[in-house]
Amino acid sequence: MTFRPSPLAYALAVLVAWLACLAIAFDRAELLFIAVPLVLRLAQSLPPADADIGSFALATDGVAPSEGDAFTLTIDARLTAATGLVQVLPVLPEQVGANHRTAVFSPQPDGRVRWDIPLQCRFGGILDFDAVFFRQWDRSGLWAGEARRDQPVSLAVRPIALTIRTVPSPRLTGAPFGVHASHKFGDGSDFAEIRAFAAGDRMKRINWPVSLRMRQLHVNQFHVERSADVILLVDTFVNIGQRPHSTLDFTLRAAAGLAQAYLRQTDRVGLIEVGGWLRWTKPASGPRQYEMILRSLTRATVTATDLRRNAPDLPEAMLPRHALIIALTPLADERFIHVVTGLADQGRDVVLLAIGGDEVSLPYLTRRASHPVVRRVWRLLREDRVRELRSHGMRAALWSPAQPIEAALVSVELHGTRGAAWFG
Amino acid sequence: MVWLSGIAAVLLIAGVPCLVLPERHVLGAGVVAAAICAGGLLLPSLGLATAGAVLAVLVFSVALLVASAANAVMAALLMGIAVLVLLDATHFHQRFNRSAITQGVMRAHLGQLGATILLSMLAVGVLAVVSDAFWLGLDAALRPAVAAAGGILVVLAILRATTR
Repeated sequence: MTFRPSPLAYALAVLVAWLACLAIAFDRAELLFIAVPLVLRLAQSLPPADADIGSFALATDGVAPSEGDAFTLTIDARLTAATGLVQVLPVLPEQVGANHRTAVFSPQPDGRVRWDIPLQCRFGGILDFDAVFFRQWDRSGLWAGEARRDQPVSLAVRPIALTIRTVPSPRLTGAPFGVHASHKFGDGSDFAEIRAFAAGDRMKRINWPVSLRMRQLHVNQFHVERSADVILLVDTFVNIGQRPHSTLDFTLRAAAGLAQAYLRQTDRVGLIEVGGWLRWTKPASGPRQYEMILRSLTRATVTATDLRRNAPDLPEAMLPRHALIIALTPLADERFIHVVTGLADQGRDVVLLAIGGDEVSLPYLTRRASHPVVRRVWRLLREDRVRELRSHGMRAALWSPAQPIEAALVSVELHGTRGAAWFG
Repeated sequence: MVWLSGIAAVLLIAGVPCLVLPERHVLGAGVVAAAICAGGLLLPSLGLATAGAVLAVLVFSVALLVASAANAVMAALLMGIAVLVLLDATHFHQRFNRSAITQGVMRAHLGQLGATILLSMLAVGVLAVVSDAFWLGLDAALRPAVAAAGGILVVLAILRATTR
C-alpha cells in the first residue's frame, strides 16, 4: 500500500504559508499563533509503515435470491499495521441497491475489518462481484493509501414469475397425461359427442336418457387429454426503458410466469433466447425444468447485434411441429419479427405477445415525444403491426405492462384465427 | 457530531475578528468569509473551505492591523482552532459523505481532533510566554526577517513531510 498526502495536508500547508506571509506583511506575531494548531496537526501526521492487506475474503450468504430479494455480501479483511480509519469500497454492480456503497471502520486491534453489506436485487441477471478497494488513512487523515483485492463471486438473481392462471391453449397436443383436450376420443373428462353403442364400449359410458328416447343404446364420447409442448421465444435483441422497468424485465417475468403455468399442467416447456446470443433450453416437464428455465432467463441479456443483419436460424430440434410457440417481444427489432413470421408461415402454432415498449419508455421521453397525441399514434401503429402479424396466421395481442398479463392472454384467445385449440 | 463541530467552527470564524475589532464592517467581512466556509462544509468542498479560511484569516489580520490591539493571542488561538476544525470537518464529509460510519469511527476521529486542540492550547500558552520575552529583546527591523525565516522553515518542513 503506497501512502500519499491527502488534500487536507495541502490545504493546511497552504494556510500555514499564507499565515507566515501575513505575519511578515503585517508585522504581527499573533498571526503565527493561528498557525499553531495547523502545524501541530501536520507534525502529528506520519505515513503508516508497511501497511497492507494480510487476508481477504468476499462471500455471499448462500441464498439464491429473486428480483427484489435482499441478501448479504460479506467482506472480511485483515490489515497489517492499521493505525487510522479504513474505508472499504466494493465495486457493486448496478443491479443491486444499497443504502451505503462504502463504509468506514476503525479497525480492531488485530487489524480486522468485517462488513456485512445488506443488498437488494433490483432486477434479474447474473451479479458479478470482484474488486474491493481498501483506503487506509493515518490517524490525522493527512495520509491515504489504497489497495485493491480481487475475488470473483457470482450470484444468479432469478426473475419474478408473473402469476398466470389462464394460458393460451395449444392447437395440437403431444404426449399423453396432460390437461389439454385432444381432437382424439378416449378417456378424458371433456365431453365430445354421443354415438351409438358398439361392441367393446364400457357400460359406464352409456347415456341412459338418450338410449331410452332413441330406443337404442348410445354412449358418451370424450376427448382424450394430452400434454402440450410449449416453446417460449424471448426477444433479447432490444431492451426499451431502464431496468428494472424495461421491456426485457417484463419479457423475462412473463416468460417465467408462462413456464410456471404450463409446467403446472404437466406440459413440456422449452425456451429459446433470440438476440445477440442464441441459447436454448430443451423442452421437458417437471419442477426441475422450471429451475432450468429460470436459470436460462437469468442469463438472458441484450448484447450489441448491430453488425448482424440477418435473423438467426433456430435449432430445428428445439421446435417440434406440434409445439405451441409463444413469442415475447417489444416489436422493436425486425430480425425477431422475421423469425416469428417465418415460423407462422410454416403453419406452426404461434402466439405473439407484444410488450408495450412505448409505455415503459414514457418516463424517459421529452415532453413533446410523450404528448398524448404522439402516444396515440404509436399505439395505432403498433396495433396495425399486430393486425398485420395476425394475417400470417399467428395469434397476437398487445400487452401493456401496467395491465395484468392475463388480459392480454385472454385477448390472444379471442383473436385466434383457426378456431378453438381443442379442435386442432 | 462532525457536522456540529464544523458549524461551530463557521460561527467562530464569523465572530472571532469582532473580538479584536468590534465593528459592523469587520462582522460583515467575517460573515462573508464564514459563508464561503459554510458553503465548503455543506457541499462538501475542501477547496472552497480553504478559500473561505484564507479570506477569514485575511479579515482577522486586517482587524488586527486596524485595531492595533496589544495582545490578541487568545483570539488568534480561537481562529486557528476554528480553521482546523472547519477543514477537518469538511475533509471528513468529503471523504465519507455517502459511507456507512461504523461504531468507533466518530470516537476515534473526534478524539484525535480533541487531542490536537488541547495540544495547541498548551503550545500557544508556552509560545506566548516565550515570544513575549523574545519579542521585547528583538529589534523592530529584524522582526520581519525572523518571521520570514520562520515561515520559510515551516513551509520547508511541510514540503519535506508531504514529499516523503
